[in-house]
Amino acid sequence: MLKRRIPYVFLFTALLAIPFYYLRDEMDTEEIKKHRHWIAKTRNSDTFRIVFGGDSRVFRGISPEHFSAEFDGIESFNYAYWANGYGKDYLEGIEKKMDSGSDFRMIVLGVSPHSLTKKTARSKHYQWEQSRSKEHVLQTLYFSKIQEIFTPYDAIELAEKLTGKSKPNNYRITYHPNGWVESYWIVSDTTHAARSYKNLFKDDPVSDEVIQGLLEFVERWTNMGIVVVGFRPPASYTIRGYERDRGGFSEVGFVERFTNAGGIWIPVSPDAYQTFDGSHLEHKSAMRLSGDLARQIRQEIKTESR
Amino acid sequence: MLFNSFIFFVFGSLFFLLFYFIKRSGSRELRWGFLVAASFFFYGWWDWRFLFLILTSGFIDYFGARGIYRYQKQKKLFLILSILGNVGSLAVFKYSGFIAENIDMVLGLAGVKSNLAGDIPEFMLLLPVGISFYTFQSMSYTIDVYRGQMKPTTNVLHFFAYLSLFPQLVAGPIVRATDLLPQLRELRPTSEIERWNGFKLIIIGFFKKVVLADNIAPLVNSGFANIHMTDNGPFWWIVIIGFAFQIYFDFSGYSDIARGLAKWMGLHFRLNFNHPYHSRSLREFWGRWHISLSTWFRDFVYIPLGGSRKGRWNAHVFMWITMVVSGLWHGAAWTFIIWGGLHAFYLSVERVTRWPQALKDLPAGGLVSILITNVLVLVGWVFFRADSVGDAAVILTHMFSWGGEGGFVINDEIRNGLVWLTVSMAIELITFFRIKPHLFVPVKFRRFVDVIYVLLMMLACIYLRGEGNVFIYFQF
Repeated sequence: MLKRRIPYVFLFTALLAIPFYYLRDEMDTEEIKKHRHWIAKTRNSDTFRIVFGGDSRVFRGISPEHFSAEFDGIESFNYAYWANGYGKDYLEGIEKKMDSGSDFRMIVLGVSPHSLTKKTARSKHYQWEQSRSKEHVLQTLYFSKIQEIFTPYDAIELAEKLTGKSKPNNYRITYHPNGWVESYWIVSDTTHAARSYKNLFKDDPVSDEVIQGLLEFVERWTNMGIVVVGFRPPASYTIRGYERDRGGFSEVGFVERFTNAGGIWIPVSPDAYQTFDGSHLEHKSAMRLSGDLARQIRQEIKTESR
Repeated sequence: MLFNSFIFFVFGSLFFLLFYFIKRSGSRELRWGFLVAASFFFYGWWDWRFLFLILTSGFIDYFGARGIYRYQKQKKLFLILSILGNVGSLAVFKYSGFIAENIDMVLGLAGVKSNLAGDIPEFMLLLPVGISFYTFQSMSYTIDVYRGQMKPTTNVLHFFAYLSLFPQLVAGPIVRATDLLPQLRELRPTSEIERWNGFKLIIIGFFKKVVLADNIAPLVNSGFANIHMTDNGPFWWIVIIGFAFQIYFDFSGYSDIARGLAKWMGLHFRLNFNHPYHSRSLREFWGRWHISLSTWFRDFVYIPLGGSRKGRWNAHVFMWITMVVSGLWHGAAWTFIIWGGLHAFYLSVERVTRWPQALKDLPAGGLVSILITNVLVLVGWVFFRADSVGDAAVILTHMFSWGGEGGFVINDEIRNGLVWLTVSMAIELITFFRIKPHLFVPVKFRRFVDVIYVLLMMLACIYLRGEGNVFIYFQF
């Protein structure tokens, strides 16, 4: 055996990898799935007749599949990113996702007040995903299944698993190729996100400059014949209070400017849907909101065309 | 290309497969060409444009050394040209921003407005990976030829194989041509035991980097990312101890991987780290930390300046110059200069007071010496890691104020970092007390202990690795 030590080490490592593989919970490989999702979303070169834009409230809160089911089966794509704001680069990115050869085109924007601040308008996550190295993209898209087998543990987590003391992960998440991130907490806590919202707007309130930039795009798209729809993704009462009082967001004022720029505004009742942390919709509510939005938009378009 | 990347795994596998056949073919020129091509591919993977910099730096020294050898009367001129070429490329690509910022600052103090830093072309602000390592290695070649310690090679492939050999190209160890060129010329076939030792070094290196250093990194990074998060003294001591182990395992891990890869090629690179935190004095510390760089500075800066031959006072001055230049070598910032200066100060005090010798004869004096040495080193690391001199001052205030108002910050990242910091310290203590765990294993199974160690380390590298980080010394 000592003469062939190196192959033996590889062989035994492979054998011992098997119990490690069976120790894992589906959420242990979440990080890799997450990377794969965002890279696939960003590198997807397909264009669509309906594109959703916004931040995490949109990529969690809108299921293109459930929307399309209520919207004549027209395929749609969720192009929202983390802590994302409506900066120029991102808005141009949305425009590029549109199928330019189609008669009917629609952009649906989820407008959370946080997406209208100067910091988020830099669209850091969107830019970050755009600037990923080729090596990272290839590795994630084509070898991430292998990486899943070799996902690391942290030491404490592994010790808890081996001693049977680990608790199941409270967070459940499924990534969909159409851009939707289906999520929920087994035990929800609708006060959770409010804690970070308390100081979120401290040095970075809603910016009129960012709103103006967004409205210029709304006008431009409308002139191009694209239907532009806006809605405010639901959030808890406390968070809406912070957004109004600390962020300086007036929904009434914004809606007036949005519709004047040519957009269609769909009012969404925040209390009709359930969030898991106060800010993000749990999966069943997300499916319901997607269907409801589709029906309301169809109704609105019919009314306008009359 | 990073050693801890998937692409390096593919590259390394293909390299050794082809290298095996090329070695067997017996064609020496093919072997030299292959080594150069593979090393250039390894470096060019990061940014192929900077290959021109290695080529320029290399050709200056290749022709410079030949000029020195051929035109003995003008040899000083060739040496100066070679040094200017190398130092010039460092000045442009590593120090131009720093120099410009400081000129702007001085002019600003004199009431003159300038924006030299803003006018620097963007390409000059991109620090080419490993520039400090390969320029120093290249320079040492011409200096050795100038000193008559070796004949210059007449084959450009031989020279570039020495300069760009991929295991040590971007983060050392800095290998001397007198050491490496003869080895490259007469590549020995590797034995099973050498391959096993090489493999072991590679796995140990990966274990140090991806398990120890990368798991401690979040603890350190969370502290330095927000220096005002707490003023709790013990917390900051732990963060700095964490950094001391992170940088040690990160860099010595890289050196081990490089040495292991070299062994597989039939080469021998000298030890670069020898348990520096076991040192009983600062002088000993510098004999154990980044040995290839310390000896480079000793042989090419300190001794040429005069070393200890020109009196005690001058020896202090030369040592200060060497240490400050060494600080500057690590990075273009005042924090690195202060770090170098601080170590020069420690060494001066040590030479004058001879405190390690004085402690040696006291009971537990050795342990006290180690403690003092490590505390001094830790204070130095604060400057090395801090983003600015101001940040370093804040952290030092926290460390020495003991028991500030803030509590000990703890979260999942810090908790995991603490676990690995404890493991790291335990490993160092085991080697310090020379405990040999395999002696606890029954004799008939002892021959398998080595294999089991490597197997466990390999499993740890796969399943307990931290989030992949770039090797710290890449930035130098």
